[in-house]
Order: sequence, then C-alpha cells, then structure tokens
Amino acid sequence: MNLTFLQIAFKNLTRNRRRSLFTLAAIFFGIAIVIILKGVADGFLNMTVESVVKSRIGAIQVHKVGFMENLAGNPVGLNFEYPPELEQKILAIEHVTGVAPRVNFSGTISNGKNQTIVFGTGVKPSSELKVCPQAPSIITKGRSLKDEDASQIIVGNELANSLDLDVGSSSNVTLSGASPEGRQNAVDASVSGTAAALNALAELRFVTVPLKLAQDLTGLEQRVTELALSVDHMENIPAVKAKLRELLGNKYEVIDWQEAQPFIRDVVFRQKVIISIVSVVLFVLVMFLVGNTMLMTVHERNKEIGTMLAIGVTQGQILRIFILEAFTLGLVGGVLGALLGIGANFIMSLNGVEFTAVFQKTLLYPEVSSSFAAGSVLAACICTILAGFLPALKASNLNPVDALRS
Amino acid sequence: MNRISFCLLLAMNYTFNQNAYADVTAAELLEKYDKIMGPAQFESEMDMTSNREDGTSRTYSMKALKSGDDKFRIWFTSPSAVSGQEILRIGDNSWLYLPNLKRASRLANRDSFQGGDFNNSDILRVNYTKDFDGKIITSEDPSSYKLELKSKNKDTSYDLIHLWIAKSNFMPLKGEYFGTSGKKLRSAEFSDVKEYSKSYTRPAKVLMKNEIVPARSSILVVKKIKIDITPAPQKFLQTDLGKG
Repeated sequence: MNLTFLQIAFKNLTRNRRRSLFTLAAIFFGIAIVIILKGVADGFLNMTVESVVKSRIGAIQVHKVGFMENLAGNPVGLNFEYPPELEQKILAIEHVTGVAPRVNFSGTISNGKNQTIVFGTGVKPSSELKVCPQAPSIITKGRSLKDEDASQIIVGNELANSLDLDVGSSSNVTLSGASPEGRQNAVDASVSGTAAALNALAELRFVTVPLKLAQDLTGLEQRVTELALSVDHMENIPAVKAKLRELLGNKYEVIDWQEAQPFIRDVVFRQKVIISIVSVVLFVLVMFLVGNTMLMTVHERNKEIGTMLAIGVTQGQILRIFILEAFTLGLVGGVLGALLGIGANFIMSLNGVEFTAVFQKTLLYPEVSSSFAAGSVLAACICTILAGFLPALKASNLNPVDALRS
Repeated sequence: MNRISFCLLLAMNYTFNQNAYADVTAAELLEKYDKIMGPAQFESEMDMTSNREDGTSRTYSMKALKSGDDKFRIWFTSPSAVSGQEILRIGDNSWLYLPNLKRASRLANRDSFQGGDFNNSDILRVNYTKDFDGKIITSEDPSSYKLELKSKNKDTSYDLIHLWIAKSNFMPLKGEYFGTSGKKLRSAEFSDVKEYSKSYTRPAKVLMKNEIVPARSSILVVKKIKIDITPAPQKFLQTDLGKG
C-alpha cells in the first residue's frame, strides 16, 4: 500500500520534470553548500587548533594556582618542584602521551646597544617535541633548540628585526631576568633561530631558551612554572584533566588549551555560530522553495484530487501522497547534494588547500563527518515534509465537488 | 749580624704590611660604607639623570627622607611628568604613589628606579652590613681596599659585589655588581667627595653604568643632605602618601 503511494508520488514528480528538477537542484545545491562549508570550516578549525595546540601550548597545562591571573606580573614567583617521580606519575596517566616542563619568566634582552622587555619560556627540547610535535614548524629562520644546547635561544621574528639579532649572532646578546626574590641575573646567549608567533606583539616579546638557562637566570633549580601535556585524542582531555587534578591536588591549576588560549577558543566558537546561521538560512530557503512548488502542484491538480476523493480515496491518503512527494524531493535532492558535498571535500582534502593560518602558510584539509552529512539529508527531508505539509493539508481538505468544478 | 738585621727587617716589614690590612676588618669597612652612603637618618635633595641608549637623557629631582634601617620616603619634584609621585619603603615592602590615580602600587626591589640604571634597592635599601658578608681581597690599586661582598640571603638584588674603598678617607671609589651567573650587571663610580657638614662627608656623585647595555648609565647627584634630623614617624605611614 505504502509502496503504491510512493510510486504515485514519484510518478507525480516526473509529470512536470522541469519544475521538479529546479526544486531538486535547489535542495541539491543547498545541501552541497552546507556540507562543503562545514567541511572547510571544520578543516580550518582543526588546522588552527592543531597548529596552536601542537606547536605551542599543548593540550593541557599545569601551573600553580593563580598563574593564569598573574601572567602579566611575575610568573616566576609561582614555581613548583618537578622531580622525575612526578614526571613518571603524570606519564602513567592513561591517554597522556607526553609532558614538557617549562619555566616562564619575564626579563630583558639586549644586543649591547639596546634592550627590550621579553616574556621567555625555558623548555626541554626533546619533551617539547613530544608535546608539541609541530613546534619546529614555527621556526622561520635557523633551527629549533636541541637538548644539548646551553646558551642557544629562539627569538620572535619581530624581536630579531627590532634588535638586529641574526641567526648565529652571539656577540653581546644578553638575557636578563630576576629570581622570584628579586635577585638580578644575566646570561650571554646566541640566537639559533627566529620564529613566528600568534601576532606581531607576541613576536616582539617572545624568547624560547633551554630549560637550564631559564632556571639559572631565575634561580629556579629543579623547579618549573608550567607543565604542558599532550594527549592521544582531544576528546580525552576532560578525563586526563580530572586524573591530573586528583594526582596534584588543589594547589595546582589544570587547564586545557581552550582556557590557556581563549583567543583560539573564541575563534572556534564564532566560526561554529556562523556555520550554524548559514545552514539555517539555507534550509529555510529550501523550505520556502519546496513549499511554493507543492502549492503550485496542488493548485494544478485540483481536478485530479477531486476525482480521487470522488472515487473513495480518503483525505489521509491524499495527505500522504503529497507529503511523500515533498519527502521524495528532499531525500533525492539531499542525498545527491550530500554526495556532491562529500565528494568535493574529499577531492580538496586529497592535496589540501593552501591557507595562511595563525602561524604560517599551511594546508587546510576539509573534513566532514558522515553523521553531519546524514544529519543534513535528514534535515532536508524534514524541511521538505514541513514545507509540503500545508499544501498537502489544503489538498486533502478539498471538497470533491468544488475541486472537480474548478 | 747583617743576616739577623735583615731577618728582623723582613719580619717588621711583614708585620707592618699585615697591620695595614689588619687595622681594619671587612665588617668595619662595610659599616663605614653604610654610614657614608646610607646614614641612619637623613633628609636630602637629589637629582637622578638617566642616559638612555637612544641618546636621550632625563633628569628627575627628588627629596628623600630616611629613618632607621628600614624606612625611606621619596617625593619627586620634577619633571612635571613625575612631580607628585612618591615612594615609600617600609621594611621589605615598597610602594610607588601615583598622584593621577591617587593610589599606591607595590614596587619590586629589582625594578629599575624611574627607568634608569639604579634599581630600587640601590636607592632605597643601602645596608650592606645586613645583606652581605664581606671579605677584603687584594686590590689592584694599593691606595684602596677591595671588598668582595657575597649576598647573605636570596632577597638582595645582586649576588656578588666588588667594592673599592679609599684607604685614606674610607670613601667608596667604585663598585661592580654581579648576577648569580657571574656576569657583571652594573658598575659604579663614586666621585666629588663633599663635606656636607662637619660630621658628614660623602661622594656627591654616583655614576651607575649599565654593563649589559653600555650606552645606558645613570648619575645620582646629592645636592643637599642633612643627617642631624629627627624624622617625623607619620611620614612613613601608607596613609601619608599623597599628602606631601
């Protein structure tokens, strides 16, 4: 019975092929655009998050409580001991793939003629590579740090420009800092590389140095101010955070990349909102289009509906025929559109799309989940059914006599 | 006979040389330095000129009042940009009062004094006896004692200081200031010894050179100073900031 109705609905659609095709095309392109847009946007988000998380901040960070509020003040003051046992305990937590100790300090860098304020980070290069595998990609010139480096440093591109620091220049590059208690200190350094940062201001202020050098400069022997962790999958971040809190107690703050870099979190959020709005607008347009088509169909087929009602077809069956017509349009257009969208994303993701991201030119790989594609098709079907409902109701409510006369 | 007298002479010479050093201990020299550079209480007018790496320089004028070991107050009088600013030190805490904000904010010892090459503790916390262990080491210049001061605690802004003090009048001549790494951060020259009163003589000028950025230096000139005063205790209350 239902199959018969579906066949009738399908046959009806082929009666005015051009109109059906236009309606189908609208649904088709609507869905395709939503899926392509989503794919590119998600690809962009992944790229942004990966480039920030995997090149600089790590998925999770651990500090002494109050560190984030005190970033502009004296980060060195909030330090903690980092014995090898602690490292082992953290690495033993499920899903944790790496932990990197850091010393954040503020100080000045001088080339012998000028000096400027810097916000430095002392790192252990081998651990850093595990936590931030893309860290070497931010290097613009020269090379990144190695474990055996003692006085080599990485400076921001803008900082290198402003102080005429060239890779390999060692003459008169001095880093000054102070211990939490205020003991001043200075060490000689040489520039092994220059690197990009999130923005020009950050590039003008950032210095990355070997952990030992930062500890010497600030008098923090065996102590650190930050631990950066990587996890196997981003969705395991909350579980790892909970385990860390359990392990470390309430004297430490455990934050994820979104809390560490609210700027990126906001970018992600804004983009999601924009995609949602665009999708809703497209679906609404499709709905109106389908509604319009169905109204015209009903109007055209008044006599036919009258005949059907006269020979005993029930109101419910009429309603069903028209809703099925709308549904068929939505399903066919939606599936085809989804196929185009997925196909286009797939082709783009084969070689990636070149894109200037937060740090540097990178390749964007669009990706869209099958659940989103399926959801879009479902949404298309629901939209067309909703759009077809009123015209269908109108058709089923026709008085057979009036309909035959019209 | 000859040999004996020679030995005697040698011995005497040795003793005298010993005496030349033994007549004063490092602790005594430090005490003298503290008395000269940071008398127990004083009221003074000073100018601090800082020469910056870009070739510009700026002079700040101030009035200072010290009471005991741990209380210090400064009123900046010119240029107009800093006029009305005040500094108060009580013990380990220092505050900078900004008249525009009508509020005082904490100062760190290591922060530079008005952007110059002295840091706050160089000006506000002259008490080497309390903060450093001194020992006399061989001076390159026979007319001076050379002191090596090693910090006693973690709170001093320098780890190590070399200080040259004139044997004739115990006036400081120069100083070198080092960080924990052993790197020389600053060097100072003390000059223009002036008798401000019968009981008080000191170098009127301290030139502080920035050894990290050699184009930078700052000069502190003591224009007037009186040590026979009794500072009013209310001048060293936080509530007095902004009241002149």
